[in-house]
Amino acid sequence: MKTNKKQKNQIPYAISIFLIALAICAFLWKYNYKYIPYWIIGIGFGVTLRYSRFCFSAALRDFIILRNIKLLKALLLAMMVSTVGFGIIQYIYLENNPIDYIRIPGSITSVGPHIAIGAFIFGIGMTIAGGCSSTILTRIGEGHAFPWVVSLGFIIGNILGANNYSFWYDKIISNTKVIYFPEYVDLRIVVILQLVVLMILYRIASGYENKKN
Amino acid sequence: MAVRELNCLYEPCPIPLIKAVKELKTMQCGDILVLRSDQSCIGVIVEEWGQQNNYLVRVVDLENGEWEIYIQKP
Repeated sequence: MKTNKKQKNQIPYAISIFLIALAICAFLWKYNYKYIPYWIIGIGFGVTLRYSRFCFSAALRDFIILRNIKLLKALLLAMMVSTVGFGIIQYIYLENNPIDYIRIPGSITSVGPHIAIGAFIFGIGMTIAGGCSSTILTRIGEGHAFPWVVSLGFIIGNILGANNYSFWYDKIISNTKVIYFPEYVDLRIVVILQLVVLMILYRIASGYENKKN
Repeated sequence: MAVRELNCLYEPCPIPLIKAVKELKTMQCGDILVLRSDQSCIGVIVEEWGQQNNYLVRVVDLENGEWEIYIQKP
């Protein structure tokens, strides 16, 4: 066991990467300043994912395999925040525009067995790969080699999916219906209802955690 | 008190913990398992798992991107 091995000082690396990020920012400022927010938000996302160890696949996997509920609770909280966020964005959009599934922010697609089949295949893949797309990108940033292979698998999977899309469309997707709740009920009521459902799930998760301890 | 080492380098989360749980089942009380991993998430989940199951856990940040986790069976 080599517990006393000295660690390398990583501060110089951090400073040099920070300077490179700033240089790219300056470059974008000169050529296309619209990309600067994407660059900064992207780095922020990466740092947050790295230090929070937040992972969509781990949220469900840890609960099923290890009975660890922490990430599942974080996922439910994230869904609550995005419900409110998308509620506001869609409310502003629908005030001025008619309902058009393709144009409404927050991709609205049809519900049907194709989602269950896709989710099942993706779930198997991401559990074997050790994470979904966001985690894989974070792992590449951490310096692992394995996620590069996974990202190659992502590309191959996407190409195969795009290639076979017409099959799925003809057989399943064309027969399914898009259900968008604000068409039937007021958007504000839908947002509140969804928040209530998520809060109930959160309470159930907390109750499960307390019972276990 | 025996010390056993389990090499889980290059294995994605949470496989090192699953392997450690299996290994700990075959060990006596007071024995120590040393788990080696290169996954940044493993230290946190083993610590949480240890708290839940009353195992003594210590995570040592070895060098660049490698961790050694000491787990003592109660």
